[in-house]
Parts: sequence; C-alpha cells; structure tokens
Amino acid sequence: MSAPITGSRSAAPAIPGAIPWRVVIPPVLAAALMLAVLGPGAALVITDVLIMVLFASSLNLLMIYGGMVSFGHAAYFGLGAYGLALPVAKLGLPVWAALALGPLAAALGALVFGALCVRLSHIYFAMLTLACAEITYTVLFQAYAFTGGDTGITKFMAPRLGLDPRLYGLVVLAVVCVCLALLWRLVNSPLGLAIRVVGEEPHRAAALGYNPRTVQLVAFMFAGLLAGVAGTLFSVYHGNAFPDYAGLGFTIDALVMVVIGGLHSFGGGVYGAVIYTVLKTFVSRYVDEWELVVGVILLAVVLASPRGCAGALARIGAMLRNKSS
Amino acid sequence: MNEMPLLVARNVNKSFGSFVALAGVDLQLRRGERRALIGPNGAGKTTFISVIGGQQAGGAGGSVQFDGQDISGAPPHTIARMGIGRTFQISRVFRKLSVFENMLSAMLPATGGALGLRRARLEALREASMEMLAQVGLAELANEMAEAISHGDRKRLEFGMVLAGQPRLLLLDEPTAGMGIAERSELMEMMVRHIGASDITLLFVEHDIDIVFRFADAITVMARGKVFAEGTPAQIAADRSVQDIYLGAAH
Amino acid sequence: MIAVQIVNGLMEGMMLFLIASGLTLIFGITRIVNFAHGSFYMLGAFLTYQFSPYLLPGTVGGFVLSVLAAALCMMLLGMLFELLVLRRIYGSDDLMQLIITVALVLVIRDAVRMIWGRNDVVVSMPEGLSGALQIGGSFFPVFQLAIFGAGVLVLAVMVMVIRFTRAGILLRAATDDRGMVALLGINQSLIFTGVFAVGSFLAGLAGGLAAPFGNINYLLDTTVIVTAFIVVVIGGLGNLYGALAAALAVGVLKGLGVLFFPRLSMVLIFLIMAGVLIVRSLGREAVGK
Repeated sequence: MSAPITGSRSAAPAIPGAIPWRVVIPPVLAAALMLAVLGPGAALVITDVLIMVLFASSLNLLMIYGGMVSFGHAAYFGLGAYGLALPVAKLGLPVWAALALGPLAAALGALVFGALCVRLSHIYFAMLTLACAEITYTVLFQAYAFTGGDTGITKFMAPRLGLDPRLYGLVVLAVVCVCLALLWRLVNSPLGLAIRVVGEEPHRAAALGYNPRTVQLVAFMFAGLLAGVAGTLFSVYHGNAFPDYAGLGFTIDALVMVVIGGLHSFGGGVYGAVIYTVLKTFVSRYVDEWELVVGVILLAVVLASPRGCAGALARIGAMLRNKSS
Repeated sequence: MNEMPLLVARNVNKSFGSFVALAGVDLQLRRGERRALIGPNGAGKTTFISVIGGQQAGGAGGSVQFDGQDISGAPPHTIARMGIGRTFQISRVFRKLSVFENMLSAMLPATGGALGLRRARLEALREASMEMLAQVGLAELANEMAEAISHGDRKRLEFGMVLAGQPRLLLLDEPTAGMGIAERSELMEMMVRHIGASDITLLFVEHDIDIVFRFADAITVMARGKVFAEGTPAQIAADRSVQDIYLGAAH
Repeated sequence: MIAVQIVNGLMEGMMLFLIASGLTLIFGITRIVNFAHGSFYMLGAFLTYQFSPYLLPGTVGGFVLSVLAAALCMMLLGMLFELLVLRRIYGSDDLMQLIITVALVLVIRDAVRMIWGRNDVVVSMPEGLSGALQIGGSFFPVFQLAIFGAGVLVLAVMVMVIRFTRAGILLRAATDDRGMVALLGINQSLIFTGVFAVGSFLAGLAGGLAAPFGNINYLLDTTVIVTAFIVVVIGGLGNLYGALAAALAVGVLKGLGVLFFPRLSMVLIFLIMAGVLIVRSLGREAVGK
C-alpha cells in the first residue's frame, strides 16, 4: 500500500490504480492469521488497531492529499458511533438495519460542517473544524434527553453483536480492507487527481478550471464518511457510544498517527496507526516519557534535513516500519 | 471573419484600500490578435490580467465581456472553463506531482467534469498528455517531479498546461521572466509556433522589448493604472512620450 | 451581580490578552502559528514557582522578580528555538509548522513532568497583594486588579514601542511588506528572532502572573492554548488591537456565561468564533482564497 503516486521511472508513465497485491496481501494475511490464532485478548487489540487504521487513513486523505489540516476530525468518528447507537437505543431499530446510519450521519455532518469550513484555509480552516467538533461534542454531552449526555448510550446491544472477538476482528478486517480499496480507487481516479491539485495550489487549479470549494467539500465528505465507518465499527466493538468519541482526544490521536505515518503516501494512515499504537501500548510500559521521544525524533528530523523534511520523515517512518513489521 | 471583439474591458478599476491599482482601463481584443501589455513597474498590468482572469474582482463601474458574455466578478474556474487560460508571474505548477501528472491534471477539466471516479478517463487522456509534453519539449522529463526540473522547463510545462485547456484567449503574465536571453527567445518562439496557426487570441505582459516587438501585432502601454498609449509596434517605438514614462519611472 | 461578573470578565480578559498578544504578534510578523505558546505559558508558571523561594520570598517585589526571571528564561528559550529550528521552516507549508511546534509541545510537556512531577505545585499569593479592595458595594481581589494593571502596562508599552520607536516602525513595515523590508537591507532574520523573543517573553510573563491563581500542573498548556487561539482568531491573526478587543469580549462573555449558561459558556465562545469566521469568509465571495 505504499506504492508511489507516480509511475515507474520508464519513459511512458502508466496510470496507477491497480491494487498492488504483492504489498497488500502479506499484511492482510498476517492480520487474519493473528486474529485467528492468538487469543481473544490479542484480537481485541488488533481490532482496535484496525479501526484506528481506517480512522487515520480518512484523515490522511484530507490532510495529505487534500492539503486540509483539520482539528476536528473526531466529530465524524463520534457521529458514526451515535448514528448507529441512537436509532437502536431510542427507536428500537435492529442493529443490522442501523449499521448504515452511522456512516450516513457522519457524511451528513461532514456535508454541513464542510460546506462552512472549505470557505476558509490554513489556521482559520483548522479552527473552524475545531469549533464544529467542539459544538458536536457539547451537543452530545449536554442533550441528556436525546443523547444520554455524558453517560453516553450503553447497553443497547451486546458488544461486537455478540460475536467472538476473533470473529469480529475478521469482520472488521474485511470492512477496513474494502474501505481502503475504495479509498485507493478514489485517490487514483480523476477526482483523486483533482483533490491533489486543489490541495497543492488551489489558485492554479482554479485557473485550470477546477472549482476548489467543490473539490474540497467532496474530499471532506469522503474523509468524514470513512471516519464515520470507523466510528460505527468502534461503537459495535464496545457496544456503546460516548461524547468523547467526538472529542479532542480522538482528533489528536488521529493527527499524531497521520504525522508519524510519514507525510507523502497512501499508507500514512496505516503505518501511523500501527506505529502509534505500538509505541503507546508497549513502549509506554517502560518509558514514561514516550511522547518526548516522539517530539525529539520529529525535531531531530527537521534539524538534520531542512529541505527534505517530508522525505526524511518518510525515511524515518520507513525505518520504524521495517522495525515493527 | 467575425468582427465582434473577443474581449471588451470597459473602465476596469481596482483599489486596495486607498491604493488605486487600476484607474479605469479600456481595452479591446480582436479574435486572433497578439497584444503585448507593457509599462513600468507598478503600472497595474498584472492586476489587470488578474481582473480578467477572475483572481481579483474589479471595482464597481467596470466590466469585462468575453465573447459577448459578461464575466465581471465571475470566479476563476468559471472563467477558465469559458476558454480563458492564464499563466502566473511566479510559475505555479504542482510541485509534488510529476510532470506527466501535471499535464494530465490540465487535460481533465477541459474534457468534461473533474469529479469522475473512473480511472479509464485518465487512461484516455494519457496519449494526449504525452503528446502535449512532447510539443513543449518535456517528454523526456515526464516522470520527474515538477519541483526537480529547471525553472525554464517549469515555464514550458506551465505553458503546455494552459494550452491543454484549448483556450480561446490566452493571458500570459511575463512568460519569460527569470530566463536567460537565449532561453527567452526560444520559449517565445515555441509559444508563437503553437499559437501561430490557430486563432487563439493572446494578451501577454512582457518587459523584454525585443520579444514584444517581434511577436506583437499591437501594443498597449499602461502607466499608473491607466492606458497610456496604444498602437502598432512601429507607432509605439516612435512615440517619445512612451520612452519618457519609462525613463521617468526608472530609479 | 452582573456588574461584578463583567468586571471579573474584564480582568480575565486582560489576562487572556497577555497570552494572546504574544501569539498574534508572532504570527503577524513571521506567519508562524506557534502551537507551543501554551507550553511557554506553562513553563513561565513553573519557573516562577521554582524561582520564588530564592528571590525575596513572600514579598511583592520577590514575586515580580520571579515572574520577570521566568519570562526572561522563556525569552531565551524562544530565541533558541527560533534560531535552531524555526529558521529552517519559514515558508514551508502548514503541516511542517504544525509538526515542529507540536513536537516542542510534546518535549516541554514531558520535560515538565520529569522535572516537577505529576502533582500540582502552588505559588502562593504574595503578602502585599492578597486581600480585597472595596469599590462601590463589591469587593475585588487586589491581585486581580494588579494583573489588570500589569496588562494595561504591557499594552501601553507595546503601543508606544510600535508607534514611536524605530523598532516599532520596522515591525509595522515588516507586517505590511516583508519583501520590501528585506530589500531595504534590514536584517529580516533579526526581526523574526526579536519578535519570537518578545512573544515568548509575553507568554512566560502571563504564565508567571497567573501562577498564584490556581493549580499549576503539566496539563496547563492545553487548558490555556485553545482559548488563546480563539481570541487570536476572532481578533484577526496579527492584529494586536483586535486581540485586545476579542480578549476582553471573551473574558466578559465567559464571566456572564458562568451566570446564565454555566454549562455552555465554552461552546458559546466557540460559536462566536465560528460566527466571526463564517461572516468573514462571506466577505470574500468573488475572489479565490
């Protein structure tokens, strides 16, 4: 999944888009194997990582391809969770029927918020996305009658639909693979090219005929939709929905994952989620100040290679990737 | 031949706060005309181009009509789709994309919507993109990152990209800026060769007088936000007052 | 009650201004969004705690000295960061700025945790400034009035510097047209370093002054930074007077919000920021961003 965006170095460039099976199949098989063979405890951890992979990849689309740094991406994660939980808990819908409502709620939220936010850029865009997420969080937190308030929505279904953690893990793996395949297809389509050029130089793209706001809104909605799928999976996984799912904590996690994942490729969300979770789960047992380690690494990279920051980060990411895989 | 002018700019004005960049510019272009826009620094040439291209909104009381349609205040992408292409003083190609991808992206909007999801569309445009790259002499560099190629090559790429949209009016803002003398002439010749046979209308801002006199049918001289003089190259060359405003404005 | 809350709000607003002023100043000149600003604030508080036992403890003079010492340390740290790291990323895209300043946040946060531990530390109110003053029918804490005065002083100094000194004129020129300033042979790097130094000083100063108020712990950077950013965005990035107006307005709104919408005052602030941003974006309809 780390196939470069451009073609190979031959004279006639190919249009990328075929799924790079040789890169994709080993990790997917490995994940499936680990889920099947290791105990339920390990399956829970792996499932968590897989959901975060999807969440981080959705932000990766927005930030790396679309050039839009969002401080409020968890809003759509939370909407995905509540979009499932609310109809089931309050309206009595059967869970299987409500599964599509989570991503739908997230996409609608992304449409509304996105329409407002894409009119801005840079820090103003980021702050407005933050405002939207905070407002979402507060509504979920305060509207006790509708949303269960800060106690959230619990006991509306058995966690994982009652499935064994390993089986649910495989289900999640399948869903995440399908979503990433769709994302891959998007990125290599004309729309994907539009998103990238608008993300790089909106003015130049406009002078070529692209409507920057429309393209950015579509990218925003796609990212929101995928975050919503992750949120729905997360809600089923835990069997609950809390306002925190739309909160700053999850947003920051996603941001850090995208940054760690290297800043130039499709797989950024995947690597970032895996590396971040590994650091958090294992390294933090031994080193209390693992965040400082991350900070120092980032600073060292910039000090060492002032021009090729993105490339250097990618190299570090690759180093870490090779170490952890 | 259709005698209605392709571009009619009337009383185009633009102020930034108290600074008056354009104080009422009138300009008309016939179909197929090659017009040079010259004048000392700060005359408002780029601002004028930006108003036509939609990057800036002109002040009230001014209007721009393109092929009979009012485009005043229209957003840049709409104007581009109507057939006006422009290049920028500081070439803004997409640096993190390859040369080939740059050209591909330029082909997309002109051939229908850019919001498609079918990869086949990109395949279909592959030949045309390579073709255009070859025409501007960049076929060998197709796989290079746009940020890695030379300044001159970036200018060629930008030119090829703006042609890809098959524009009817081409706005070139200092197309040879930052290039050496030999390169400049070469680029300009390439440009005129491509524009030559077709009836693309051209409005270009240039500081290099040789280039201006070699390639322009007519010249508009701007100074301090207004049109100062207009005429054929011969007329402008003979006009003492034009020389004066350059000398007067020089530091 | 309302009047008291408004006055309290103004005082809190002035504190917000102290924090926001450095942030907006830095952005106005260098175009860097300094996410580590809250961390500098936090370090200012911790350093004030660290210095106060050694500098005339318990007295007002000692407190002022400690705060100034802390602010000076932050100024040095800021200059160091600018010289070693920020220099390399001027002109880079948003993401790079974000990464670098957030990396600093992570480092400072964990460093603080390592040095001072996870528990709260307390800087006690200096003797001379405790107690309350009676104005009209209500009592106002002396310390808060002193902070307000400090804020006004800082504002006055900044305004005078900007208007009447050569440095100030250069600052204004640099905000308007950085290219021209560079062409005129004025050392742009020096201006940037100087601005970052001043901004960091202000952050440390604010942190030190706020130290006696409440708990100082390693989470201080995040609690403060979001409100500071909101103030700066509402006021317009780089706009010092805007930051003042926005800070006072936000302070008053928070004060009133506590009375009327106790659970929603923070969201109210966000809504206002959102409103300001959206209205501003409407004004840019025809032009590409």
